[in-house]
Amino acid sequence: MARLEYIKKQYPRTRRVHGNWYLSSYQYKFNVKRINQCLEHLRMGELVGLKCRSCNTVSFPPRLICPKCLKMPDQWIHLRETATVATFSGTYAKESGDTEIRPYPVVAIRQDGADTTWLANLPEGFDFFKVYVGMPLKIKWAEDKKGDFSDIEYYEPIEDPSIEMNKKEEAEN
Amino acid sequence: MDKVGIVGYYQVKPETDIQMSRPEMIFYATRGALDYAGLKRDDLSTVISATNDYYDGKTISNCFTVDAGGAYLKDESKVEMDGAHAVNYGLMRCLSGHHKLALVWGASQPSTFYYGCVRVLENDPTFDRPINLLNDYTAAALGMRAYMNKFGVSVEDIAKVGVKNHKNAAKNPLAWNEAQLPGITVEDVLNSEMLSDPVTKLMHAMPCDGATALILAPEELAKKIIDDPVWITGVGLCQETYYLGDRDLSTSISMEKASQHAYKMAGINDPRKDIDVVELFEHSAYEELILAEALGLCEKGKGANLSSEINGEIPINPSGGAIGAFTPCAIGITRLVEAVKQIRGEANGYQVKDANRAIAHGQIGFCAQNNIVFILEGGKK
Amino acid sequence: MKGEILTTKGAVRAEFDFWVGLYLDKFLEGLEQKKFIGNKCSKCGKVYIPPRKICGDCFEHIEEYVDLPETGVLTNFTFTKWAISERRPRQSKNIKMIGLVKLDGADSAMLLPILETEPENLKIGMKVQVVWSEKPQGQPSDIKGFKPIGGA
Repeated sequence: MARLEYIKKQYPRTRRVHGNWYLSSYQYKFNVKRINQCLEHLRMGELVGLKCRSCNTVSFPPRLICPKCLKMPDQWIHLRETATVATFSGTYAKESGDTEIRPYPVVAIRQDGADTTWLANLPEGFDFFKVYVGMPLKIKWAEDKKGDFSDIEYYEPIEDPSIEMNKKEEAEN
Repeated sequence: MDKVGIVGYYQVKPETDIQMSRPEMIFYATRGALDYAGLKRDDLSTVISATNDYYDGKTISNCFTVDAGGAYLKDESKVEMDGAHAVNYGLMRCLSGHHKLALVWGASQPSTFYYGCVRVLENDPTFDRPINLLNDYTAAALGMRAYMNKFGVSVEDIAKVGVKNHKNAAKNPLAWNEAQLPGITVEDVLNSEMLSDPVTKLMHAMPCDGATALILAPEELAKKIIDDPVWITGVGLCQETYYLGDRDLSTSISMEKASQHAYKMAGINDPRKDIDVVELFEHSAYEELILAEALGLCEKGKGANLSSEINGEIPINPSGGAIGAFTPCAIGITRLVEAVKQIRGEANGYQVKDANRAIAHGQIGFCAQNNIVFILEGGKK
Repeated sequence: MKGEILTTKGAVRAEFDFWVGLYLDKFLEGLEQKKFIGNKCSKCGKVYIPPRKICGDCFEHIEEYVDLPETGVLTNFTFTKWAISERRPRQSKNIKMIGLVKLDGADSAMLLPILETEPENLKIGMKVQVVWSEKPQGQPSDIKGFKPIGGA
């Protein structure tokens, strides 16, 4: 409280002038040509990642530039449909029509065979408290494929054999 | 001072609406510079970028271009000014002894936003912006009229600078296509669209997309990387007040001071004799005359009489200058690159004979508020 | 090559309210009473308008306020049909005249609109006089502009 009074005494408030930073016409460019191959494969229900020839890093979704080598990766390689949860978080939100605020999972997914992760969806209404790091997932493809990343409707959790093994180990100990 | 050499450079061809995403454009510039010097990305120790949040439409614009700029896991920093200021930053880092190879790049895509908007946002927000009268067109017009009025220079004299730069640009394959006008006349310049009286479109540097990169190395290392690197032997920088109403727009005191500092550092006594070629960043044609005068290349008000063609006494902007291709942020680096090309004899088609010492210049702000001057030298003399 | 570039529109919008500071506040207060207030550096004697806190030349605090007259000299001008817009390049129907006006007794000039004349009549060194807006509110827009004395 005392501090506030001090500020008032030292710095009398003056008039204000309004200003804004308004750039509504900004157009961000993205060169689709470089990832067309990936989009074509998505339309066919296949997954491809980009592999850098010099450091063997595979990126999915494909990245245009390999930061380590400063080269443009140009080798397309096929990836499996399975993936794992690399890390996750939750956000609390209220959907329209809902009365309660519920936690929703936000999941970074690493496609098997790729080295990079991306944020994708789990099935609608999936319980946030059931997500864990290393959870195995499988792609659920969209009905009509349009040739973009919305063709991957969501990632479906699949049976995890490691849970049973962990349980066995715990029981033995 | 210890010498720092320029060992590699690359310029992406400027275009009106470049068909590349921003990181891609930057990648070609940085990769090109590394390839020129025959280096790997791992050899770099620091990366300095010249970008502007307003030009890129996102805050902290360099965080998005780390991969393309070659800065992954490197000591990276950004200058939100002209590219020439980024070169100065890289130079200081090299001279500090803590860094070896510095990659400096600048890039922007004015096709993705309205450049005039950014200049309006440059104004003093409490007085000039609510009144809303100042942008790059009107600022250039005020400067040009002040110069013409003080020294009795005619519009034709200034239009001639536009003619010269457009003609030079036609010889430079890396100039902006729309600025390459080999058959242009003074009448064409005067009859082109009026931006703000007396500045016409062909007298003004119109922004276009582009990226430029260059690599700096300390003396010993530079000699190992390439034969005959071009050395930075002097640098000077000076800032003037923001308020146009306080300044004498008919001359450039900040350029005078910056150049004197650079001359002293490089040991130049008579720039008229010692300098072989000049690369200026002129936002508008009249600025080239003011800046040349401030550099001491001629008397005040006599800039128009200077023989500044490619085969003239002191060639100014043989590459076409900013009128030839104005790529915001990259432009200052492009000026250095063009000077390096002249010294190394790589300016195919617009080569100045026996160029060994050059001036490269960058600026920022309304009516060249802030100027930075580099003296570049080859090893021929 | 066309058609391979995907563009997404981005809306960048930030609103600001700038506190103008004590010095410009005094100036705006003056405008509300249709009066120009500048300030004078005690060291070099330069008179600034709008008032500044610091004299750039001497790097000294300026404390002395001075009243300035409503008349001045046009030191520089331009006119353009391009609207000075933050959104997109566009041309307006009316040609806008812009001038640097140095008030009598001041050492700095203000960039303001020039009114009630034609572009051909503008001359460097001509005497001009302020045109106030009808209801000054203590905003920079209280100065509608300057017009030539004698209605040239």
